[in-house]
Amino acid sequence: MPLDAMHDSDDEALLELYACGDAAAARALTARLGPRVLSHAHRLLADRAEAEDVTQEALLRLWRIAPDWRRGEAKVTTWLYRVTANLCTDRLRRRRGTDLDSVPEIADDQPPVEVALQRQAREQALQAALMRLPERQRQAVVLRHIEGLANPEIGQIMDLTTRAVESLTARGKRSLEVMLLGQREELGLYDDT
Amino acid sequence: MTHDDDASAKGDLAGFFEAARLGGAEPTGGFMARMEADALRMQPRPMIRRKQSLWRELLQGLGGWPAVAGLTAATCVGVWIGINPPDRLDALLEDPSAIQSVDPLSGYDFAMLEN
Repeated sequence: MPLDAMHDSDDEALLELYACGDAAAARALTARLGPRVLSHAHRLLADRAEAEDVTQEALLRLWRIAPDWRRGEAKVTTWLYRVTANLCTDRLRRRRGTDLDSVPEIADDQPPVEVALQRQAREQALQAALMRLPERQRQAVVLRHIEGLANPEIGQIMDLTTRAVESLTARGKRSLEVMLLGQREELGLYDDT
Repeated sequence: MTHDDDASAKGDLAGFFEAARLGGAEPTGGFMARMEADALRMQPRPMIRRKQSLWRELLQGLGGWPAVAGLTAATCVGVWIGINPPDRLDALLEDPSAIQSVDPLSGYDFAMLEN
């Protein structure tokens, strides 16, 4: 199948083609899933090199199970988010103690004046605040509010009921509000951007 | 929960989440090339159908060895009957009236049907 035609195919259909030896499906899946996994891992770990390692390992696991993938049992992305989160958890456990040095700095000395800088400042501030949340809260907040997944799907990824997911994201969001909204002036952030 | 409800539920954090969505870690070209190489290296090989010999294709077309054995037996019987036909068959073929006298539905049967 040509690469262009694969844009309309869902992940499961591409994975079936991959398992049948279709090289174009391999490329299409990598291009589609690689950036998503990397971005998610980076948000959970706040470390580029580690996020790349996790992405590589998560995708290798997907390629390994591709021939045995049973269509309709789970979404490919749900499975991948789950594997990614588990790999990130392993790495976070290995870090032993919170190495706060690896967390990005919250604020620049100079208040940003352009929209791009505003965004960057917000992103960095959020990332730093996320890294101060308990791991499960961080994962739930990222999946819900940044990846935009529905609560039932997050429940599948995290092995939780939908109500438990709601509770986890609500607590995480409250903590973020406390950390971020009180420091807006300090961070040089302003509204309407 | 609708999208609007969701947005309001995020409250003042919406700008932070939006910035995170727009930002995110962008993969480099080198990293994506490595990922692609992994995918191709791990990929199962496509199933290649080997070209079969004409004899094997013919054998499969007939239905395999059991069907060929049956056909061979029937052919041998036919050849044997041709070389050495049974006496009764000769008599039947030499006397055309014997064939004409075959009456699958006799007058008697018709009479029974009318009753």
